[in-house]
Amino acid sequence: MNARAGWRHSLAMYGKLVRMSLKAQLQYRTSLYLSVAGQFAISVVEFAGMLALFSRFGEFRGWSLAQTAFLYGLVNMAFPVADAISWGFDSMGQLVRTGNFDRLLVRPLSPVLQLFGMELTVRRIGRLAQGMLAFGVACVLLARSPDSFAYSFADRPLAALAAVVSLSAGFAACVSVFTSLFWIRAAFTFVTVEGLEAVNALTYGGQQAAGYPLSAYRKFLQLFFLAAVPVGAVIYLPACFALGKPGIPGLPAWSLALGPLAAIPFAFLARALWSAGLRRYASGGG
Amino acid sequence: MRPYLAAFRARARTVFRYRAAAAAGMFAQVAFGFILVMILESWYGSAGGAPAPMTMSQTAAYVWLGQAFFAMLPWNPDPELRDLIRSGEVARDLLRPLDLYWLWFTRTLAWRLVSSGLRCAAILAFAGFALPRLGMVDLALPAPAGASALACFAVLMAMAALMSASMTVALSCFQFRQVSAAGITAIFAAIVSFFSGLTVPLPLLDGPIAAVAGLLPFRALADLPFRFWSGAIPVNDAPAAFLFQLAWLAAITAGGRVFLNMQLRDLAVAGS
Repeated sequence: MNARAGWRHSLAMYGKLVRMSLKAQLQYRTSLYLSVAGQFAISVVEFAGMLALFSRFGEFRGWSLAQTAFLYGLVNMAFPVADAISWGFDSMGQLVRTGNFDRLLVRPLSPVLQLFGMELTVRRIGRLAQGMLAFGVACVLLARSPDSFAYSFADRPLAALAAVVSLSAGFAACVSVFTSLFWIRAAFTFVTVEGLEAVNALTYGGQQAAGYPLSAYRKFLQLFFLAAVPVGAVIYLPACFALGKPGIPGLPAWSLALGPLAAIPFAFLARALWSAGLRRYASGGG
Repeated sequence: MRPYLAAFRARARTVFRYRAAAAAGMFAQVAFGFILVMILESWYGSAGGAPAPMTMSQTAAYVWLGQAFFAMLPWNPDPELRDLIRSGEVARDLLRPLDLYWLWFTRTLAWRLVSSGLRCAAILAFAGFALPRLGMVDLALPAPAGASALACFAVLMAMAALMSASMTVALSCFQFRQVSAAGITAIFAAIVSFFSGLTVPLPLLDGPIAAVAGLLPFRALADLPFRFWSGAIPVNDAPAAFLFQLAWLAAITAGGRVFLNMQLRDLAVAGS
C-alpha cells in the first residue's frame, strides 16, 4: 500500500468508527438531549458571568464586550471540538489498566487513529452552542460598530484577508493545541497508569484563561500561554491582529497573524511524548 | 445514632483512601483560582462602570475560599448512591432497620467533608502563605477579618456542609428514574455554580439576577460564609445568615425526604 492509499484507508476507517460511535450514542436519545442541555447550561453560566461583569465594570482593560466575546466565543467553540474528538485519550487510563489497550495494538490501524475513533462525543454540542452564542453576540455587536475591526475589506483588502485567514487558522490551531494536551495526558498513562490528572489544570485552565485577553494575566502566565502551552499564542494573537489590539507590545502587527503556527511544534511535542510512552509500554492487564 | 456514626466513619475512611486523586484535583483548583483571581484583578483595574462593592482583597479571599471548598458544593450526585441504585443493592439498604434518608445523608456528608477537607488545606496554604512570599500579595488569600469573623465563617461553613449533603441526597434520588442522570446533574451543577458565587462573586452582580441570587439557598453554601471571612459582611449580621441557612436546611431536608419516599413507593429494583 503506498502512502496515499494508506491515508485514504485510514480516513475511511476513521469515518466508519465515528459513524458507529454516533449510532451508539443515539440509542439513548432522551439521555443524550439532556446531556447536551446540561453541557449548554454549565457553560452558559460562564458567559452570563462575563456579561454581568461587563454590566458592572463597562470594559475589560480596554477591551469592549464585543471584542472580548469575540475571543471568548472562538475559544469556546474550539475547546468542545477538541474535547469531542479526544474522548478516546480520556479513556486511556481504563484501557491500560484493563489491558484492553493491547487489543488496539494488534489491529492493523494506528492506535492513535483508533483512539480518535472511539467516540465523537455528541454532548459537547452543548458547549459548542454556548461558544457559538457568544461568538454570534460578538459578531452582531461588532457589525454595529464598523470601526471595531482594524481592517475593512474596502480600505485594506489584503490585511482584512490576512485577518480572516489568520483567525481561521487560529481556530484550527486552538483545536490542535487542546487536542495535543489531551494527547499528552494520555501519553502519561503509560507511566502513571492513572493518567496525569494534573494536566487538567492545563486543559480546562487553558480554556478558561484563553477566553479572556491574555493581557489580563501577570507576565509569567502570559509567557506560559504564549510559549509553553500556546493556547494564547494561537488564538489571542490573531484576534489582536484582527481587532487592532497591541498584542505583544514591541512586535509589528503583521507578526501577530503568525500566532497559529505555534500549534505545530506543540503537536510534535505531544507526538514525541506519546511515542516515548508507547515504546516503554508493557501490558499489565488481563 | 451509633449505626449512623459507623456509616459516617466507614465512608470517611473510604474517601480518605483516594488521597492521590484529591491531590491531582487540587492542582487544577489552584490553577483555576489563580486564573480567576487575575481576571478579577484586571476587572478591578479597568476604568469606568459602577464601583465594586467589595475590595480586591475581599474578592481574592472569596475566590480562593471557593476553590478550597469546591468539593463541598453539591455539584454531583453521590457516586456510591448511584452504584447502589444501578446495581440494585439499594434493596439491601432498605432492609436495614434504619431511616434510609438519614443513612444516606450521613454517608454523603462524610464524603463531602472528607473530600473537601483533603483538598482545602493545601489550597489555603498555597493561597495564604505561598502567594505573598512569591511577591503576589494582591492575589493572595488574606487572613480572616478577626477571630469573631473566623468563628462566624466556621459555623456557617458547618451549616453549609449539612445543606450540601441534603441537596446531594435529593439530587442523587434522580438516579432512580433515569438511566443516566448526567443531564439533570449538569444543569443542577450550573445552577449551583452560578448562584453560590463560584462563577462570579455574587456581590458583583447587579439588577434582578442579584435579587434572585439573594433568595435562593445556594449562596448560603459559599457566598455567605466567604464574605464573613473577609469582613465583607459584619459579624453582627451572622444570626440572620444562620437563620437563612437553618430555614433552607429544614426545607430541603423535608423536601428531600418526601422526594426519596416518592421514589421508593413504586421502586422496582434492577440488577442481580
